[in-house]
Amino acid sequence: MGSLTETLERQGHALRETIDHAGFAVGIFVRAVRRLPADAFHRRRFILDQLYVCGISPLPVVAIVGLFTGMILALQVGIELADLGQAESISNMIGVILFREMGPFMTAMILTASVGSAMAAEIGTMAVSEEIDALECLSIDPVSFLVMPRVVALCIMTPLLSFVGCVLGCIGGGIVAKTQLSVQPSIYVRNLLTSLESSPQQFGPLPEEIFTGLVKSVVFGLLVSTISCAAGLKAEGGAIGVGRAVRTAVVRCFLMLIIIGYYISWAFFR
Amino acid sequence: MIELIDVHKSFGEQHVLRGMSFTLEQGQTLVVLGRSGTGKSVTLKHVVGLLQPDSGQVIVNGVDVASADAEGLREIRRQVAYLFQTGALVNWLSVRDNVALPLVERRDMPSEEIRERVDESLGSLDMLQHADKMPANISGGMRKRAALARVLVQEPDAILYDEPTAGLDPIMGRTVGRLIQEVQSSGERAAIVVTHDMDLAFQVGTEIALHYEGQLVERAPPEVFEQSSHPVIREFLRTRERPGKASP
Ligand SMILES: Nc1ncnc2c1ncn2[C@@H]1O[C@H](COP(=O)(O)OP(=O)(O)OP(=O)(O)O)[C@@H](O)[C@H]1O
Ligand SMILES: [Mg+2]
Repeated sequence: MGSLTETLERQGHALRETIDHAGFAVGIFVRAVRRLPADAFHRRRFILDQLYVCGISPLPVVAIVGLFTGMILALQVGIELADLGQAESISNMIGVILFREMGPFMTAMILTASVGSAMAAEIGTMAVSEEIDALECLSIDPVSFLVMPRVVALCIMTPLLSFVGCVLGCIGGGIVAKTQLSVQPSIYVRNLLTSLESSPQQFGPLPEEIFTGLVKSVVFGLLVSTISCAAGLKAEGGAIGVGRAVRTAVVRCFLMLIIIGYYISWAFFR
Repeated sequence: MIELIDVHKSFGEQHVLRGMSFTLEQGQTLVVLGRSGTGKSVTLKHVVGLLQPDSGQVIVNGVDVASADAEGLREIRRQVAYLFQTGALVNWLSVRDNVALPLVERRDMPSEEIRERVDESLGSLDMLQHADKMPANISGGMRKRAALARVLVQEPDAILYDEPTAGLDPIMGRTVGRLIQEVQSSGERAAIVVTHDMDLAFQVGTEIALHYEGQLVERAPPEVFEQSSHPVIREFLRTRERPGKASP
């Protein structure tokens, strides 16, 4: 009996903490957006630094993962399609899957692991070594100083990286289509372009596939940066606290990416 | 200009401040001694509003810190600068940028003036030749001096020094002591110096007090403090008496 109430109590406590943290993260995000007009120019140097950190350093990983994802997709889907005598429509599948779903998701996962975890660790270390307190003493808003540049940078870089990953995925798919399925590159490219052009809706110059992917990437960039920074700011208790902050950040990012990702798809394609 | 009235503060079960009261006027340098973990840093954090008291009041220049709005708090933090025990420099900015940070963030000072003041402040601490290094690449003592330069560059009305000489070699410790004396010599600034360094305490203090059981006790000018019979104070004073040196 005692252990049951204890367990429930612990679960309740964990739930309340999660809700607290979610509220905290939303608050951080709102504050960062509010500070944006006044502080963006003043902090342009930090934003540029972060653009580099968020965009250039993960680029090789995104490129390699994108390329091979396209190749794996082409191989797996291609074999099935070849059995049905439909090998040539491989590029329709690859384009749609990559641009709509896999590209943004994959990129956000990579960014969570590489950039998000680093954000949580950096800010967490600052939090446990009184540096955030010191900023407050200098009347510097830590959200404007630390969080805002990171959110801006990841919002800009996630769609770009995702796009690069998708394009490389299509190229990888094309290579496999040519070498394993004997689909001519010209046919592959033509089918790829028609599949994107024949989307049911256009958003400006962009076909729906690419547009939804970009929307998703921007939202993912916001999620990863906000969740990671919030976890860092909440860190307490020395090196162990920093470790815990990184773990919380990565786990929460993964969960939120998959859940929010589903609802964005649902909103566009239901 | 700084006044604490019956401040209580607990962390969970741990009752750290138990009715802490003191006042500090311009020109005074109050040295606070105390065993590790008694709550000296916690007391300083209350003064700049980094911690809120459970009960009691913290008043800086007539403003209640707990109920001050954002603008009020900014004003208080402009008047009262805090030298953190660990230095707390921003890791990804060079020493010079760290020292310039408080001025840059005020956004109303021309960059030549900022540069002048930063150089002057770094120079007074013998840190100019390290100005372009990153905090991770200098020694702990240098970080401390850089942090001190960041405090001095703000030209505050009051300075809270949290163990300013911990981690410095004895010669640099004396230099910092002289610097604090110099900063205080105008007679217009107030300072609280938290330290375990008895030489520093007697070098800079206009008054010395002991942080004991959540309160400040035995506050007195150095010559009187020296005569105190409080057992912890006697223990502290003993670290000062060395063989060959006439003890009072
Ligand atoms: N944010 C906090 N949360 C929980 N406990 C805290 C917090 N800050 C301080 N404490 C506790 O309050 C007590 C006093 O801490 P404080 O840092 O003020 O000690 P101190 O007198 O400055 O010691 P030292 O000379 O070692 O710096 C410690 O036992 C510490 O564990
Ligand atoms: Mg302390």
